[in-house]
Amino acid sequence: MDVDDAVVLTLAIWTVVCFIIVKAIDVYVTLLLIGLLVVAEVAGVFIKPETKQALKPSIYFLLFVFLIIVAKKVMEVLS
Amino acid sequence: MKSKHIVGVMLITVGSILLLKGAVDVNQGLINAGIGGVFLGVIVLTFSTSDHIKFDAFRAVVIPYVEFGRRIVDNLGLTNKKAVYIPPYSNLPDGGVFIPLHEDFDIDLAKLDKDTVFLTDVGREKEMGLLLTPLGKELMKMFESYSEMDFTNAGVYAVENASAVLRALGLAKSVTVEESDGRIKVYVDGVRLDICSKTCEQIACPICSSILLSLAKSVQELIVVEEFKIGEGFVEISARKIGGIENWM
Repeated sequence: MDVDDAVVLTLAIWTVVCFIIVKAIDVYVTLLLIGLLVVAEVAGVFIKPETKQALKPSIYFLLFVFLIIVAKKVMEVLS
Repeated sequence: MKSKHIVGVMLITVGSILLLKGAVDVNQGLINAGIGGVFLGVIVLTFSTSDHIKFDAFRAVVIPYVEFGRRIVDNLGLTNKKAVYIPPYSNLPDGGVFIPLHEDFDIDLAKLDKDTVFLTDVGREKEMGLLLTPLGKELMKMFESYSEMDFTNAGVYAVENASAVLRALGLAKSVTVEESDGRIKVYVDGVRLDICSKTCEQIACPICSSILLSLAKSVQELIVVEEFKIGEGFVEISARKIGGIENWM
C-alpha cells in the first residue's frame, strides 16, 4: 500500500467513525475538516506537491463552511 | 478512465443523491451520509492523480542504463577512481559527476559545460576525466519539491528530507546523514533496488546519486566519494568535502 492509499483509507475510516458517533451536521463537518487538516499536515511530506495543491480547495471550502457554522453559533449566543 | 476516477465519481453521485434525499426528508443521518460520500469522492479524485508504475517495470527499465554507464567507466579504465559530485553552478545547471583519470586529480570548473563528456582537451593530464550528468538529478528535484525547499546552502542535514520521498516512492526507508571534520557519512536503509555495488563509487545508482548530488548542492562544495559499503538492503556512503566552486575555478 503506498502513502496515497493509506491517506485515503485513513480519511475513509475517519469519515465512517464520525458518521457513526456524531449526529449533528455542523459537528460532523467540523470533524471532517479536522481530519483533513491533520492528514494534510502529518502526511504532507509524503504527498506529491501537485496533490497537496489539489487538496487546498477542499480545505478552503470546509474552512468556509466552518466559518459559517461559527458565525451561526455566535448569532445564536447573541440573540 | 482509471478505477479510482470511477470510484470517486460514484461516491460523489451517491453522496449527492443522499444529501438531496436527506434535505427533502429532513433526515440528519442521510445528510451526514451524503456529505461523507461527497467528501470521500473528492478525496479519492484528488489522490487519483498519482500514477506509479510497478516496481518490477521500474527495475527492468533502470538497470540496463546503470549497467551501460558502468560498462563505459570500465571500458575507459576508470574503475578504481572515485567520482566527484559537482553542485549545480552556471556552467552545469543540473550539477555533474566527474570521474577523474588520475587519483591526484585537478578540476577546472570553468572548462566544464553541459556539452562536455570526455575531458581530454586540457593542458594537464590530471585534469582529464569523464563528466556525466548525475543519474539522480530528477530524484533530487523531487526531494526539493516534496519538501518545498531549495537545497542550495541548506546544510547536509537537509538531505534527510530525501527519506520521505524515497519512502513515498517505495525506493528506500530512511536516509541518515552524519558529518564530522569535512567527512560525511550517509546511511541509506531499506533500499529496494539491489543494484548498488562497488562500482557505485564511480557511477552510482539513481538513489545514491541523488543523495550525493543533494549533499553537494546543500553544502555548495564538491564532494568526492570515498567508499561504498553495501549490505542487505543497506548502503553506507562515505564522502568528503573538497572545497567550493570558487576554489576549483
